[in-house]
Amino acid sequence: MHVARRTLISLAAALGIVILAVLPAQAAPSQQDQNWLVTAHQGNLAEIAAGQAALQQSSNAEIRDLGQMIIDDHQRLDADVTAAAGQLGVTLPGTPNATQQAELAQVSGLTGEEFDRAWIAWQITAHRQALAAGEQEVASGSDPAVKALAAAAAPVIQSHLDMTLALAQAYGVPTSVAAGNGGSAAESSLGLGLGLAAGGLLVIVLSGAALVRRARA
Amino acid sequence: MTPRAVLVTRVLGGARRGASQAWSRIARLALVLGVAVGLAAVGTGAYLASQPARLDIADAGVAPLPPQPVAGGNPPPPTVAPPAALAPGRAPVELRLPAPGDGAVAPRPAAVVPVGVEPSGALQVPADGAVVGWWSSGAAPGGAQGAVVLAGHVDTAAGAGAMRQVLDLPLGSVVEVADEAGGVLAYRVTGREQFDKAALPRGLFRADGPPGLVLITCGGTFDARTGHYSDNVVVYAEPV
Repeated sequence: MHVARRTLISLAAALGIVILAVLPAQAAPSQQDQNWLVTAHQGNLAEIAAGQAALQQSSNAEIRDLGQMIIDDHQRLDADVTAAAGQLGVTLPGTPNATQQAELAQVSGLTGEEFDRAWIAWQITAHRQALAAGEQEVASGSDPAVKALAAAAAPVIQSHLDMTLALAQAYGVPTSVAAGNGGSAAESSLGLGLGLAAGGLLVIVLSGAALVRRARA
Repeated sequence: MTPRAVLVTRVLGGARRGASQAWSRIARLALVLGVAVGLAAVGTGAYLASQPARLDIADAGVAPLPPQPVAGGNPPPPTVAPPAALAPGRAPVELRLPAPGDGAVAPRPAAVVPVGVEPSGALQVPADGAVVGWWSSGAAPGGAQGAVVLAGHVDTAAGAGAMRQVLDLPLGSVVEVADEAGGVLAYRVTGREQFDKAALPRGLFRADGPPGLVLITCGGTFDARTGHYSDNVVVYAEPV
């Protein structure tokens, strides 16, 4: 698995370099290309920060290992993204976006198993978003070099997603679901019971009264 | 009056008195019976009135659960998923249920939001009964494998919840899930099962195996004191 992954990542990097060498500065990348380069770069920065948070805050060996792998892989992926952006004259932001920073702050504020669960859930969502952004670039980007980078990153990101999903199975599966607190959907026998009891009382009173009257007569 | 006439009068009078006494006894018996029946009704009524409200849904169809340990306990070691079928799926944004019958109006589509797990292990079900939660650490609609888990209230203090209608879905009904990319996936209902809330099988949340949809809501006995149902009702569906 590891050998296959390394080969995959090396191939992705080599492909990126070859493409960048063969296709020097195009006329102008499309807006979609530019958007994806920014999204991919900020995603990589956020992933690297997430990996570092896992190393600092988790005592779970699997999560720490995955955190380290995420740091290594996204540093490699980001080297290609940054090089492509440089060649194409696209300016990249220096930090993750506001949402990613808020997520990092929120998850980093947790400890223990709570941190682990939140980190796994966060990484699953982040990698799904990265895959969706890559798919969009492959489908509607115009610069072949940028599209190739997006395509080459997909299997790496997918492997991270698969591993976080497997971790969620081991550590984060819900153990209960509380999905009703009104009671209106439940059929109550309260009304029927009260009605029956009231009818019974009435019969007792009437029969009793008649019995008493007869006894006196 | 002749002796014969006196005799006739006496005999007839005696007969009338006898008949009236018999009728009196029957009436008395009827009244006593009335009191007894009344007592029985009061007893039965009091018993019924004291019973908690229940929401029971018959199990139906095939439960596609592989044998799995109950959630909790020691987690098995994580298995690294086989390398990538490249179909991660997309986040669901809307759950659309069919009309409950011919000529009936389909319920309003319910918004779907991603949810996680509380520190207690409980799935975070949205407080708004009209909104459905998607367990976002599991499978996503359109993904190559795993069960997409959507959970929603059967009811809240505000009335029926988004999942109330799920309980009445006949087998074979088609449920639709819209995703964030604008795609719509159709699932056919294949089964329904009721579980004690404390024994929800962890296999419901599987991330591998054939793609499917799992809808979870509440049922069983409603405890008005705690505001909770005793059971979960689970509806299974598979991609059409």
